[in-house]
Amino acid sequence: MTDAPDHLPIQQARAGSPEAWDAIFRRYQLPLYTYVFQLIHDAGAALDIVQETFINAARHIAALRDDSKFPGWLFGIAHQKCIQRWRGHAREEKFLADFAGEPPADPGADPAAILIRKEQEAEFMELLNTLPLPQRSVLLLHFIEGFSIEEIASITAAQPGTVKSRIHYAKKALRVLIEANP
Amino acid sequence: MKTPREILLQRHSAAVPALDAIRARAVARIARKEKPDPRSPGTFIEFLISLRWHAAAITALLLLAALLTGEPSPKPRLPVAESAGTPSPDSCILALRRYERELDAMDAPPPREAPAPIPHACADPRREPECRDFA
Repeated sequence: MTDAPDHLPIQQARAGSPEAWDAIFRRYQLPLYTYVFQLIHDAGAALDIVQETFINAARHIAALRDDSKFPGWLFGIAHQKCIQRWRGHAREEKFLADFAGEPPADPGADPAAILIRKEQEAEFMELLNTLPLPQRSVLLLHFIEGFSIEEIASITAAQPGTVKSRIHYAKKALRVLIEANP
Repeated sequence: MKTPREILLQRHSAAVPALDAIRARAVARIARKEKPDPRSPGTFIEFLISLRWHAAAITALLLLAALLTGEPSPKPRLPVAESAGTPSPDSCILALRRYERELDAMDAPPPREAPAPIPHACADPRREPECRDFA
């Protein structure tokens, strides 16, 4: 096993240490909530999904082989919960739309390279919410935790090429917004 | 200037108290699992023992239901008594006494036949003619 990211006490968590889980949950509670809320736009349901994600993570931590993949694994649980919720609302077709055929492009390495001025924040959030769900999902994962293409592909159960394409078009739309409001 | 991450997290920072509560509940749940519950049965035998009163109650209910719904079973009869007829006590006593008398009679020694009395004359050689007449 490789080292846990951010020196998280994954090994202690595996042993069932409540303190270790508290530290892990504290680190990821707001990013997880932000990701889930931006996908489903329901505060109560987002809190429920975060709680279920915590419980499932503690229950199935033994299934995680590589500690370095813990953040992606945790977001993958939350992502699956979102899909289950969409399936319950019969909206899976929209979310699971196939983006095959789009040319893969380089999305850019650093998600923090994009800087948004304060007066652009509202437009940024509005743009984010107008993106189709698949693009929004990968862009959020890219922005919030800086996941790699492979990690996002694993979280969303998509092909890496598809993920790369989605991030490319989402960032392109974002740049258009930023350049339009200099 | 802010990064998209900073904007996103800041926008949802109002949810932190609710998230803290969720985290506390989840951690408490993990802590409960870590400590074994003393009330939980440790072995299968202990689990069965804990169910003994339930089993007794169910058995009692089944017996009660069987008693209330079932027909009374006929009294068992002795086939010998049914075929031969039951003799009265008096006749039994009479028969026993009769058998007792017969057994006593069988056990008693048979009466000896008394030898014919020898006339005294035979014992006396001098009175042999009398004895011969007697024979």
